[in-house]
Amino acid sequence: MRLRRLRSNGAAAALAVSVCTGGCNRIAESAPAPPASRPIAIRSDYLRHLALDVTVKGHPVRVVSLYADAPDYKPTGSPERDGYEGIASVDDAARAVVAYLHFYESHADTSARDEALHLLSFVTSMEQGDGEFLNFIDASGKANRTAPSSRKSMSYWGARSIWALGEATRVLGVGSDSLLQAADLRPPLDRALTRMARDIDGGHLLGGSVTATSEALLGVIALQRAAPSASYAALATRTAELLERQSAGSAQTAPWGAFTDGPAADWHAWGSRSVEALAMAGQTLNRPDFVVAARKEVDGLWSRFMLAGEIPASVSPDGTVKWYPQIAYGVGPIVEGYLALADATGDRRYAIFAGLAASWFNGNNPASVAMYDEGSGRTFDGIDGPSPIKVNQNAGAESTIEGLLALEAVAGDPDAAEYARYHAIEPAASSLTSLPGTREFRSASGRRLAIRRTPAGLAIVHPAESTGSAHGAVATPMTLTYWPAANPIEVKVAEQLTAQWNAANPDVQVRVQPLPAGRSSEEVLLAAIVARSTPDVSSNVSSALLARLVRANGVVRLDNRIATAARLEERATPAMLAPLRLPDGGIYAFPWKTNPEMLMYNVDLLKAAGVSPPRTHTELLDAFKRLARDTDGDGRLDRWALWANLKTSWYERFYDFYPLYLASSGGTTLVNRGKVVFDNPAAVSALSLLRQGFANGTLPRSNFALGRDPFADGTVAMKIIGPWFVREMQEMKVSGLRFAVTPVPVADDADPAKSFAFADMRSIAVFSTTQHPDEAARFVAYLTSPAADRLLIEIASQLPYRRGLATDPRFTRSLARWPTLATYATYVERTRDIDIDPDVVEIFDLLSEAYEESAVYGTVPVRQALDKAAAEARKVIDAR
Amino acid sequence: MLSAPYSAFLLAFAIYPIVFAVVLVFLHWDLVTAPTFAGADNVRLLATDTRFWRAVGNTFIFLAIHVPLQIASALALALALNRQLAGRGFWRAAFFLPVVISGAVVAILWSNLYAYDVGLINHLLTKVGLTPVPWLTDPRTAMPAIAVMVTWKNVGFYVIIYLAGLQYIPKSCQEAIALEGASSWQRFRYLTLPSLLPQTILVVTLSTINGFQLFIEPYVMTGGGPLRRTYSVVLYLYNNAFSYQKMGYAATIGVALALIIGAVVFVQRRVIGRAEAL
Amino acid sequence: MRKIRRVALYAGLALAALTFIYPFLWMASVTFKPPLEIGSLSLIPDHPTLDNYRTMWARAPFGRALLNSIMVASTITLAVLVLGSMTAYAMARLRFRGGPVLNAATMAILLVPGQLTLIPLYTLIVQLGWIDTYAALIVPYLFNATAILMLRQFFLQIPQSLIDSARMDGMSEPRILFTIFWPLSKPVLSIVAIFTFMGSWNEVLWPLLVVREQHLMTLPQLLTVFALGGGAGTIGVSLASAMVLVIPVVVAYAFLQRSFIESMAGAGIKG
Repeated sequence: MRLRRLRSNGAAAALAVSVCTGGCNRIAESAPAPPASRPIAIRSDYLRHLALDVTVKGHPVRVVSLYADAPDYKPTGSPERDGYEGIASVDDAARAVVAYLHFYESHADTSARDEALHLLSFVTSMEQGDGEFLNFIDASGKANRTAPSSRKSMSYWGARSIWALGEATRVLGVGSDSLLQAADLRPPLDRALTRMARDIDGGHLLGGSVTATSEALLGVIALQRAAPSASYAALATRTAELLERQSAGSAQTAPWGAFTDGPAADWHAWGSRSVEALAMAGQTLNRPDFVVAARKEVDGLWSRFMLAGEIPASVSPDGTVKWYPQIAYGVGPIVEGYLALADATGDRRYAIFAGLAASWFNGNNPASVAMYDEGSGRTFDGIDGPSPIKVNQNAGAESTIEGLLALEAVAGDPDAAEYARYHAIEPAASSLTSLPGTREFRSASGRRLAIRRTPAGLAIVHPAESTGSAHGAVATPMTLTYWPAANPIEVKVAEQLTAQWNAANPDVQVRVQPLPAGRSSEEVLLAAIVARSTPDVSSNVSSALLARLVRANGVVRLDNRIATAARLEERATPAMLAPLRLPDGGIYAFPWKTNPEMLMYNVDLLKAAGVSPPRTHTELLDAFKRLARDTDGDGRLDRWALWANLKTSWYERFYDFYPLYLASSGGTTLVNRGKVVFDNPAAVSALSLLRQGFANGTLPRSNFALGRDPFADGTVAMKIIGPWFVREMQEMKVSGLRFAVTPVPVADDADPAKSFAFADMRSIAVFSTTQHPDEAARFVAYLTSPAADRLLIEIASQLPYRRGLATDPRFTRSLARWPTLATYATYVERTRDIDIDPDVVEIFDLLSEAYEESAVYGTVPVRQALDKAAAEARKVIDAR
Repeated sequence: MLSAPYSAFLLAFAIYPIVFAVVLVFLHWDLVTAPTFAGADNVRLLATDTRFWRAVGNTFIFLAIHVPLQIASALALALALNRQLAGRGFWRAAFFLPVVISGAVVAILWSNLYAYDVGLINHLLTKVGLTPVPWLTDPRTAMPAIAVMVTWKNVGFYVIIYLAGLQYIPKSCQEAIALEGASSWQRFRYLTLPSLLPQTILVVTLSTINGFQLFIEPYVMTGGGPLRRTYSVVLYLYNNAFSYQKMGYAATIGVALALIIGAVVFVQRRVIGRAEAL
Repeated sequence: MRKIRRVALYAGLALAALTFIYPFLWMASVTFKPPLEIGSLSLIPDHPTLDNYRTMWARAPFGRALLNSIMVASTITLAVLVLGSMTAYAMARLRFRGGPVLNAATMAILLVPGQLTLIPLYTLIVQLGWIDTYAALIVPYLFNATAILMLRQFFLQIPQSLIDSARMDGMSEPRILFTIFWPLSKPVLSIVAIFTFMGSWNEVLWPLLVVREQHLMTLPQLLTVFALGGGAGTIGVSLASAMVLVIPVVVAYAFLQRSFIESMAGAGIKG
């Protein structure tokens, strides 16, 4: 009892810390996260269980069986009572394709990708040569041409095929060598698009349905994202314009902005993807009016669902509501619609609503039963009601697929993921016309969130935490300490973001204490670590330091906390995360920004000397010669091609030897799993290049005056440097200096396709001294949101470690804010950092000496200097 | 009684950290994980570490230039300033100026003075028809250049020490020796210099200790290069502690350095003491 | 002859002074230069600008930091003078048990590089709970080994007869120290004062370690954290910050110089 009180008491905790003496580094094992604060597990096992192999028109393909009934969940076809439709459908196969592709995107599971390709073979085999599709097949693989739900048409199943094929194009790539090409999926897709355009141009919704039209639009947008073209853009625009007009009612009058098939038609939850499609169309096509249209349904109709506490099955034009059945196919599209709108508007309220909507899957529903099973990835078929309220425990393809689609999207958004575990406190309302003004939700750990109706839509309120919760009574808001780098620019970013956070999170206040940058930062951080006086969050952790922090248990694992797990999934591909994973598979610092170095050059100086941007060492040496000159006629050179710093401080090699080496090494760094690997031809060629330059006098053998950048004033014509320098250039370059960037030249015999850029990754760490790891993780996820990343780009000209940054339309405008930044962005996923090795700095120092001896002063041959450095590096590693 | 507070202070803020450091000599410790026992590993490593001994050698080169230069310049300026001078305050202030500026700023400043291309010194050299010297990037000139700079920075401080010392030379002695018809050199050699012995001991001791603890100048100006010629012991200690995070080894370097300084200062005092006896 | 020597003396002094003042003037002029002119040798900027100061001003709120710096440096200086001379007096003039040990320990502190004791000292401060307090900034500096050594060296020169006669008059040891030794030691006390004040005034690393709250930051720390923050292209701002640090000291020095010199001139022990 006494112990428990001590634990929840801040002062006592501080006392416990102070008892720990300087030499004491034992760090208490952090308790495993309670289930409620774990990320939702996304599994494709059950979906795979529903797969069947059949032969269609002589080709073996994969399909997804329509149903599977409790309790044994044996895959079956449609029951006789519906009039036998078949065993599987394009409807389900196509959306299963999308689900598998998204699963593949976030887990890099190639078997999921192959599953999608097998299903796509089935989908295209049902295309009838004119862009129209059949829907059902029977167990023998024969298509059903008679049932109304299967007739040849460009309707629901055709539209969904376009969606699947579009997503496949986006995810698998458009290149001639892509899997898509190999599977010969292009011709049916092109025919389907032509067929779709015919209806759209005629002003007709596909199949007369906003549902079908929205799904087809999602496919066209995916194509436009994969390979922008005027024809995709035109088709998408016309489709969206058609959808836009289907909005009925207003903020005050039923059906409150709902997109319906026509004035007399009901709005139904199933397949309600108009919001998602319009929000994405608005963002991709840069048409804010589409986003405005999407918001009409969301702010009007969906806000009422939020206040009511339930998502109904349908709403009639006069606002009469039918609450049951509640199915995944109805909840899922609303979850994804909210997320798409959050993305398009940057308004995180919508992401929170997405989470609250998705909580239906986790038991926040009239039956209080978890509809989604985290163990297998199965979703129950729905809840029937109202009397009695009964869970339909069968689990067919549709529910499972829609569940996966929605929860996969939720898992990629920190806010949605967080609130998907919340539950409404009061019972649901019974009508949409008389609603409570507020509704409250709470998490398993007692945290609360309220939504309140305001004239501007729904507002989010954080009520004070309930007393007696698991964490003990906290009367005042908790405070997190955050140390950003004290670089004025980064302080600016940090302060802006923190101010926004503090306004939105009155219960979790963050204090910014800039960590002195440059030479003092390591001392301060190390001393703080030794004394266990680290902050909750620090955003300037280098890979060199991280290795030790992890070994000392000094930082909190982040890939198993809801918010950071979601953000990692949203931001990085599995391939980008793989090198950051530690042997236990965990990620312990959030990879925040990466600054790939490229060769920046002075456009006019190169042109005047007749030098084109060098690509190889030979061309670079030639540039050394041609750009070196004596302008004042005193017999000494005063203009050069490049300046390699003569100082031997280890980090100086970030701007000469190391990037040159990485450009040619095919991805090999200095150390690999405790083995020294840098004594190789790439290092020899990089050092030899510099040696030649110094030997023939075309590299300046001088350190320029401190504080003066010889590139910015035109003294040297090229510089190997990262994107942060672009902002500095704007401040200090001579007016009229024009610069561009090109990849760092490679050795003559190296493959430019295997060239990597050096990037000094900076991560955000949550220190294990924190009392609030979950809140800190939420703050980290917030610091790495798309909006925060845009700020980082726009203010600091630095690049977030983010998938597809160069092509992501959400960042196009931010990147365009600075010259050359878009080019830098193309290298974000092709970088190598310094090795996460405890002795990396000493090894760099050894290399720096080799550089000095062999290149600058030429006192030792390159090979010999390198061998010596390697031998000493091995000694250093052996000694540990 | 008077020294009781000091003893307590020493215990907490000096002896404890020093004992801590001495204990570290026998440990491997990377600051963040728990230390492990190292036995004599660190000491053995140090004995054969060419980088360490190189740094010690560099320091002796530095001292060989710095200490005599420091004494000579401080003494000369002090004697000049000890006369009846117009604007004595101005001169004193001028020579004292570098003392009040932080070492890092002085290092930045001199980096620019020494710069090969645009530095003032080379500018003047070329003006008088000499070839410019790559002061900080030529292995032969880098350490002397730093030694001159450090002398420049500290001279004002030592001038004041000497000036204070000159006040203690009794006027009667000066008058007496002048009456005996001693030349000014003789006066300097037989009266002033011996009278300033305590100050000289202080200057030698402090400038030697300061020299052994040379750090910020090479750290800012050369990073220890070229070819490790300006690598100082404390820079090596600092890199081991904070860049390589080898606290045990850094402590070993520190303790070895303290012993070396102690030995050198001891020898110096003996030598100067014998000079006094002569 | 005498006149020529006089002229030569002044010329020599002027030349020497120039080498001491020029870098300072250059530094001052750089702070008024835009980034591109920093490499130039001229003392007069072609395009004078206040941008460096403006940037610094915008980033770092000085008022409080200046007060903190003055407070911390003055407290430390006073303590070092009073406590240091007490200790030095004891070490120089009193025989007591442990005296030699104390002497050796003081010397030992001088020999150990500060970089080595940084971490243990910091952990001590954390254990004492002094992070983000003035105590952390002041207490570790209350005594200064160099100062004690210097004072001791000078105290040794004061004739024993003065002490003996004072003791005969029944004066207590502290009284001897403060009424007899102090007036005689003005020069060295001034040196110690300046030296201590400057050391504390310019100290950056220690405050960076122990203070994270802006309202407790000293001037150099505040400048380091907010105005500089590392990275190239900020040398104008960095030297502007150095100016801000230097100017109060130069002003104080100019102001105090008179009494300072008088104290030196008047302290000679008339023989």
